[in-house]
Amino acid sequence: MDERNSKYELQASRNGLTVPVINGVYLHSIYNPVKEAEAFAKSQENNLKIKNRALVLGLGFGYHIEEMAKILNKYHKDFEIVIMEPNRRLVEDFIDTRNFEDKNIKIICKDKVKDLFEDILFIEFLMRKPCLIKHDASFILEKEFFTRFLGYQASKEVFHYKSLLTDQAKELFQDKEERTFEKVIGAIKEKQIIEDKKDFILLALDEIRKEHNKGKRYE
Amino acid sequence: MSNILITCFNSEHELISCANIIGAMKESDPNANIDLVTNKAYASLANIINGVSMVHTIDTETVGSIFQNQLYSDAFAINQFVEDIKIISAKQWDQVINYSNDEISSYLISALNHKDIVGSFINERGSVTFSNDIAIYQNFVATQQIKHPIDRVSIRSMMLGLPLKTDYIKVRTDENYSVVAAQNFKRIREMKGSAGTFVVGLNLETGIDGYSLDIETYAELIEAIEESNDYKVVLLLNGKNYQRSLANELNAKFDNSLISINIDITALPAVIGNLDAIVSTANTTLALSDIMEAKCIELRKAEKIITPMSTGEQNHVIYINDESSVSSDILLSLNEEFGTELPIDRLTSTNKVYQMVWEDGAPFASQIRGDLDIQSELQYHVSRAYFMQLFSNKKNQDLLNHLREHTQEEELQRFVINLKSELTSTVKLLLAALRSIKGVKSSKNNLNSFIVALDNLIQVGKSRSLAGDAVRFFEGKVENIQTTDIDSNIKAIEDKLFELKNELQVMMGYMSDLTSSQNQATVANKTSKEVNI
Repeated sequence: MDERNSKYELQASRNGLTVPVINGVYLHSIYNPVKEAEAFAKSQENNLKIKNRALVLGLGFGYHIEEMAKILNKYHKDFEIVIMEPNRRLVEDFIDTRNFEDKNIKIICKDKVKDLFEDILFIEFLMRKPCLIKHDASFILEKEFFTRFLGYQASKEVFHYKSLLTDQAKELFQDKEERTFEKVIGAIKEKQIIEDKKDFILLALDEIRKEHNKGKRYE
Repeated sequence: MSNILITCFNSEHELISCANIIGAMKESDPNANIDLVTNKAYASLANIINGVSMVHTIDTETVGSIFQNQLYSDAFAINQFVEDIKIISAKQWDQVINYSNDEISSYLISALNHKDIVGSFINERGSVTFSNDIAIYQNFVATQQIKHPIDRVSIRSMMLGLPLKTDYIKVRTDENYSVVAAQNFKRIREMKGSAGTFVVGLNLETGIDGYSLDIETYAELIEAIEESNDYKVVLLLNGKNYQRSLANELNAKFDNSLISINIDITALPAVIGNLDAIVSTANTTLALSDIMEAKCIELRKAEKIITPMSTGEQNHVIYINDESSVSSDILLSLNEEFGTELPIDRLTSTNKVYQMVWEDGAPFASQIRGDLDIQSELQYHVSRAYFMQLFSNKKNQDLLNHLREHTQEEELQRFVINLKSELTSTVKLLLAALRSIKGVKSSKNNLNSFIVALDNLIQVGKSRSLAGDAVRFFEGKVENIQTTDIDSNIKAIEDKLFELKNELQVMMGYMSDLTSSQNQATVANKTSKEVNI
């Protein structure tokens, strides 16, 4: 048995709903999980009113998510909830037992924080600036994972991200030994002659990077 | 059939102005395939430009955001960019045009397969290179001018060697929207009892210079226009909250009788096509109205007199320094355009009003009201005439005669005296540079003194004067020299110095053109030395 779930059980609440209890932590109220979830969602109403996307840290057993979806549905034509949950067993049990009917809700389950940030769909979701909502019980249980997530910084080393590049993008870095994108650009600029047309692509890309840093926006 | 790619990343209004050259290109080669590459955010706008075969977009916002955000790997930005340029990189282009004259384009077009480049680009030595003298003018002269004597669109059409034409359809209008808009505007006109009612659009969007009219000015304007039997006002919005609030407040002042039209970019041409005039700050809607030849009254901040966005014949541009007179200035412009008699509260406005006039196939701004700074107006017109002559070999004698005949003699004298003084000192520096270049030819030891002499001459370019413009143009030509060995460089610089000498002679000729024979003696007396090249 994995350490994450050394003590793992699914208990029935007083009103008959399933409540996971992991390593002694109850992920929802053992009396009335829905009532608790309603109060939780209500406490997030202002956030959900402004933004139609939410990133939720912790699946629990989904009750709080369903209540949040109701609020989002009230305020927005379209909405999206992405839940980050590192506990695979919990996710599998949830899917087997309850699962979400709403297609606007997605669960992402990755063991490593790095894997999350290597998923372009997840990046695209983050770029749409969702509100971040923490499910406290889940957060306590997976504190290390979520803390790493919140403090994550992607590696700027080409060597580290080369595997994420498409084949065509990889070609741009052929014969480049510099460690970072900025150093690659610096090396091209130091050359007397730019013989390879691909270097101009990198230079054009660098101009976009610089203009964005200077604050130029094309929205 | 030629494949042409136009790059334009700077701004929406610049993208719209591409339509001016695309029509001319299509006329010169009806079978040309003209593609556009721009920011993804401008895609819907690019798609309404007539004559474009394909719009390619680069998601510069996403690419820039990924690079900037510490959370995301640079890999995603690189992948996105490579994917976005996949088609344009694979294609063979007969001509690539750096329309918006920006850095992204300058590098990007150097990466593409092309036979010909128009505009600026980066050469294999990593230096900026210009395809011709007009591209040099654009980068070295126009960029330093607050108000461009030759507007950007004209510069670009001259750069391409194409006439700037207006008589073709520049924008694609959706047929369904057109039908609906025509019906609605017919009803709007009839609200005033006549199908001949002039419909004026008040665009509530803030300008690119941050300027917007205050609600009181809007209210004054609407009151005067709505009370007239000749006009009907419509408020133009494009979905922004501040516009909605403003429209609601205005409507509350007028018993909810105002018509507001909330338009997205796809429907905008159909609406503009039904307006008789638009009153707007400088923004995308104004730029689109201008190329669709709606009568435009452009409102600009006066702190910086900058080049108008409007180019259409007889469009008015009001540079505002006195808010209390704006509504009167606008009403006066409408009266002048439509021959109506809207009531004018204030006749003594200090706001400068310009009318766009076309001459030599290009527009320029001619001041028609407000405080006149004659010296700066003379500089604007003479600079325009000078460079147009350099580029077309045609002297605008009519303009020079007009300036001489219609400008107070004292002002002309002052202008000519200043010009003569500028030219005298510039010519001295030019001759010193020419002398020192001879020294270099005899011995390379004289190279340093030549560099000093050249640098002294180039310093003239720092001044915002006619001589400064001429010297910056020379500096650009020197920067554009492509030879790599010293002897060839020296020879090329010498040639450019002689070109400058000839060009200054053209400017010198203007002094006698601007001065009547009896005043030539006065000018000669008031300047210490004669200019002699």
